[in-house]
Amino acid sequence: MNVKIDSLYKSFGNNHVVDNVSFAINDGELVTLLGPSGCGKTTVLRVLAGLEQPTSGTVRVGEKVFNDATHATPPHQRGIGMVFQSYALWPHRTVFENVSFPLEIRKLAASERASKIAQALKLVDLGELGHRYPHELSGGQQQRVALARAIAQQPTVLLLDEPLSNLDAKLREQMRGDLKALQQSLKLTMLYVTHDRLEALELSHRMAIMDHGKLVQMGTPDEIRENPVNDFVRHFIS
Amino acid sequence: MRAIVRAAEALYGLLLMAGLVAPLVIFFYRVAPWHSDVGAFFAQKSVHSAVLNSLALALATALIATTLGFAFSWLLWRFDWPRGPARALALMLKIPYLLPPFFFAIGWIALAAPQVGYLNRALAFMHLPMLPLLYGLPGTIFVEVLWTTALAMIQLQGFFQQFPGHLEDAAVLCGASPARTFFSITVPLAKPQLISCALLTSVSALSAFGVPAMLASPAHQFVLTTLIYQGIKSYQDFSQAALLSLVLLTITFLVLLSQRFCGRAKPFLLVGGKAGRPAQLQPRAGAKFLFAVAALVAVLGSGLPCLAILARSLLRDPSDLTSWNVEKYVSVFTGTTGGFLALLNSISASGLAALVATLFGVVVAYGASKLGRRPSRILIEAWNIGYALPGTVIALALLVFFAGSITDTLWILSLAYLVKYAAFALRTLTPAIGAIGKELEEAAWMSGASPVKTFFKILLPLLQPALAAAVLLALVPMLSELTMSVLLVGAGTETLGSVIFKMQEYADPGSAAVLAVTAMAAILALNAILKRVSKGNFGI
Ligand SMILES: Nc1ncnc2c1ncn2[C@@H]1O[C@H](COP(=O)(O)OP(=O)(O)O)[C@@H](O)[C@H]1O
Ligand SMILES: [Mg+2]
Repeated sequence: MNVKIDSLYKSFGNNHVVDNVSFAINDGELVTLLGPSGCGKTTVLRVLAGLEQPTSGTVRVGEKVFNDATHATPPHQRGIGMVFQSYALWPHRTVFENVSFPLEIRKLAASERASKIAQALKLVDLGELGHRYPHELSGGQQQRVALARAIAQQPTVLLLDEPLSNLDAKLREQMRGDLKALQQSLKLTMLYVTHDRLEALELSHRMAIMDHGKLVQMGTPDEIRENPVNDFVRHFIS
Repeated sequence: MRAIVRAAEALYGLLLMAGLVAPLVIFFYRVAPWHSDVGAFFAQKSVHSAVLNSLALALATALIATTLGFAFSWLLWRFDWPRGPARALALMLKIPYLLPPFFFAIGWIALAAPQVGYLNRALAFMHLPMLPLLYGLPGTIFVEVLWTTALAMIQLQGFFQQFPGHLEDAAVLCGASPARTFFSITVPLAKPQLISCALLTSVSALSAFGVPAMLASPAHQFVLTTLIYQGIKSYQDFSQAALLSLVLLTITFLVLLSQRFCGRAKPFLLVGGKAGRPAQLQPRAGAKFLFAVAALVAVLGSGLPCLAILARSLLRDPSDLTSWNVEKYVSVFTGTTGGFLALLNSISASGLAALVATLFGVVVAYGASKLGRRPSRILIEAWNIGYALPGTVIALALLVFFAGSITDTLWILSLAYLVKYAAFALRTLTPAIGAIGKELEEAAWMSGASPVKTFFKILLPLLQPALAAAVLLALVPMLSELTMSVLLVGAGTETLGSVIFKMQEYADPGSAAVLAVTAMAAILALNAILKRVSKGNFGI
């Protein structure tokens, strides 16, 4: 579903972390949010998820207004999926039970649930490991479980916060390819936060570049490479 | 979720008001004889000597126990001992903490009572002089120290778990001896912990009742708590009790206040030692000597007295070591002594209090650490103060406040236990909840679960070991609680602690020993279960 963020501001006390950010994501599009550490990417993502309340601005997904001047929809009613940087797998639940949770919440029948979980685990190549606990998995496998859990609920939008930053270089490259394939086969609408320009250039349909809380440029990788709006973008991209 | 937290805060706050604040206010307002001659009261010699004895007991116990506890912790934690003996010694030194101090008084009476104590008889047999008189203030301090050393070790354990060992190692590499390193590096580093440990142990010794009642009162030496008890039991004198309570409370508050000044003690947690250890020192003669001292304290503190109680419970004739017999174990629980009823009463009153403390505790700890709510934080602080207050004063206040309503029922016992020991549940729950990453909750919200569902389906299951630990750790001191129980029990609501105390004092030390052994077995079993179920994370 398409996403629209309008005039978003967010301050923590006197710290203006997000400063008038507006952009849109089309249905089925993968947009990366790229910028140096501390520029406010995670905050934008968390506002979209509902985990953080904006100081002002509106957030829309499809027809629904999630944040405006008068109300805020709580995160659990947004139907948005999220992959956390730390994966946030529940240590007391097996892989199967982790992926099962969003479906239990939606009160799916056991048989339907089982087939959806199997499908999700297959998509991320974890078919065999359903009975394991998170601590029995490698970092790359944990990451895949987090991804499976997020897509199992068929989210309207999938948010990923530096999902590959905890993996080694080789695995990162492989996961990048897998993520791209997954996005294309499921036609997921995705917002992908990263500070790694290679990741952004390879994955994005379009990328949004942030600096000090401001959105400085948005466009396809080619557009941005060819026409950087300022020195910051030029240096950051090359 | 906020609504649930708010409701819990309200209920918990109400319990606090009904169980502590209102009773204290009413107690001092109603029964303190403000009109009578307060000056004359304080001029009494008995009052003077009780204040002095209380101070002496608190000061001596705190100093000796803190010193021993610190030295032993350092010794056990920092030196490279063979694993088995070191672990056994640590366990022996800490175990007394789980048992009520007055058990050790019972044990030492069996060992060192003039003429008839087992040790004295052994000495007489070898034609050696008897032990110094157990009854009196020195004997009281001796037994209180044995127990309080365990408290000090548990309090200081956190410091040694995060001990910056490399600082010591650096000193050793510079050529300093371990002893030199200890005094010039370790002690200065530990100063805040040492001070707060000394204050905590002195507060605990100030409110001590069981040991002075068994060992000092027979010699007509009284501390504040035992003088209060005596006044109530002999003449139902609530006004004198109120004035003495006021003195006791004032001293306690002064100590607590100085704790604020000296930087606050980190609440201690009963966690097993799993953290990585810094490089360890090689024990030489000095350390080996200290190890022997620690072993002696362990034997005197937990080994011998427990064995003596066990022996006492199994001998039909205490002076005849061959009269082994288990019939007491049957008669105490089936006969008219009321042992079974006491056990039942203790289990229900403490069980209820421990469950309530844990249920409210988990919600309020959630409010404090996840929602950052002030009321939750204030409540947690308030229960910590409840723990620091002398049980004698809490019980008296409850007695006066609830006179004619729930006195003589198990409710008042349960409420008293809750006021005093809810802090134990909270101390376990607060850090456990704090340790659960925010993202684990957020991931559940993003999966479509409401905050309430997340609390029940993700947080509570994650907290299972901590919840079990909270219930059990609150239960342990309640099960054989004495100080408050002796004042609060009525006909039909006798508890383990009060029955053991009365049997020991008046009629039947053998039956007292049977009940004490039963309580010890139950408590040690609970601890072992907890330790096992939590894979060493909780328990001693
Ligand atoms: N909950 C918070 N409270 C206060 N400051 C915050 C909070 N979250 C983020 N910040 C601040 O906002 C700024 C941007 O953070 P973040 O959005 O995490 O940046 P990025 O993800 O781009 O590295 C940082 O300076 C950070 O310190
Ligand atoms: Mg970030």
